Amino acid sequence: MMYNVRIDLSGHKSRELVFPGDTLGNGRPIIPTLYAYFDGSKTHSAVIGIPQPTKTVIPLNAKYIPKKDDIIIGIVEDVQPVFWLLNLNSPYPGVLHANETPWEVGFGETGKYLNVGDAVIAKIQAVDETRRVFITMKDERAKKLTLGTLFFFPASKVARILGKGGSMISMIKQKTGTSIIVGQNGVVWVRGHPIATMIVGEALDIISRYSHVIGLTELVAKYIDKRMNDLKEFFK
Amino acid sequence: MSMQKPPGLKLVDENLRRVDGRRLDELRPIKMKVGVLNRADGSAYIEWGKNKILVAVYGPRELHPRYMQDPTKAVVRARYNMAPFSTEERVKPGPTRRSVEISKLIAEMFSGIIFIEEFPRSAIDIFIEVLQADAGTRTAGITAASLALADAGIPMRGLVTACAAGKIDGYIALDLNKEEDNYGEADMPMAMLVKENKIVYWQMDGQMTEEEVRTAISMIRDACEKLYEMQKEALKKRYIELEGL
Repeated sequence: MMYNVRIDLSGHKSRELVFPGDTLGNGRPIIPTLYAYFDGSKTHSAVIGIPQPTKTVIPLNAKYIPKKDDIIIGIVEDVQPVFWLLNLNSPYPGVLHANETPWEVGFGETGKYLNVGDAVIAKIQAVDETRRVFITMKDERAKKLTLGTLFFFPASKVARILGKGGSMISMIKQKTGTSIIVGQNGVVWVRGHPIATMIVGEALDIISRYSHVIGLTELVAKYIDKRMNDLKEFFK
Repeated sequence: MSMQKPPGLKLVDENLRRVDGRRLDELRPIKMKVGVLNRADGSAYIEWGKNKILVAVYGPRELHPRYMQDPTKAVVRARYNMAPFSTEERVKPGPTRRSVEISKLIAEMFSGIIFIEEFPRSAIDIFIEVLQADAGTRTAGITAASLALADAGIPMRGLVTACAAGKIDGYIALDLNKEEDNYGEADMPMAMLVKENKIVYWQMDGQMTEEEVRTAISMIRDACEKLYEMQKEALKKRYIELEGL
């Protein structure tokens, strides 16, 4: 979702960035990564991103690539007799089999539990070599989501949305009084007062677009305070 | 190429200046902007002389129809399209022999530069829309498309730059404009990975000797280095100076 919030960035600077083809250092990357490549002697960046000392890059914009054991938020896009197809905000849809749910689903009864448009928190059970994704709800964190609003962001922004040790997200929750769940796939579920939900959406939009700006947490905190104050009559 | 040249038209004058006043090895003025569309995953806009081109990139995304999916790699699809109002005479909408050929070559070129094996069964779509044309739209389109791909966060070997050189009135000249393209003797568009010094796209129309082709290639290489700096400048404007974010 794009709110296209404009904020005053005067006095704020971007982190150092690398562009595709820029050299990161001699030798191989320390951790194998999709976002840098080795040409035989040097490692180069393959994307626009923030360079790391490990000769890897944190991309600014990247699609979610499903990984085993990730907790994700999926949206049902198709219902079949024994499974659901979930949209994972990724190039690859996930299969949630009826046996992988906490419910006793009979053949053809899948529609009684989840329908097109419903959202669930679930876990990635397995990903095969052609990126077919299998999802399970047999996890204590898994559940069907009712009420609330969903926001979609590139998966590479999840770390920024959470902040160091969850600092960013807990600040947003505390200031707006909402409950928020962030899926590893960049889908964010927000439940609370409608106006507070809107402010959270705007704040997340700022985080996702300005994720490489230094001093982001203060910028977001200031923005939320201002919006909560401007719209305070709606909270009566 | 080789339209009937109007009598008395001199493409290169005695001071080695061309019809628009450029030297033989001079590019037209170029402006690039990244991230101009909100709905696309990545986008770029380029003004190259009188050419105006908009590029949008989507993906990697699920590929439909499913029989087109490749379980080992992503499929790159490109669409080069000229708007009906892009030239003096109206272009009939829809794919033409020329645009199908250019689209196919651009798609094949980018499949060699993007790390397609990292995204099995998916599609990467590149849309190149020519809003105003004045010769050299494919090279301008490729230059803008590589910016849009970088903006979309698609992993690739590097930024691709493209430029053309040709032969006019017996001289080898860089970056032909419309008159030079229509009445000149040869046109040779080429795309390069500047940092690796690799040619990734090469076409030629007309006739040149081997020596002339070598001169043209070295001219294009120098131009591509300038273009590469311009591309990085455009990306820096967007991401480091936070322009239009």
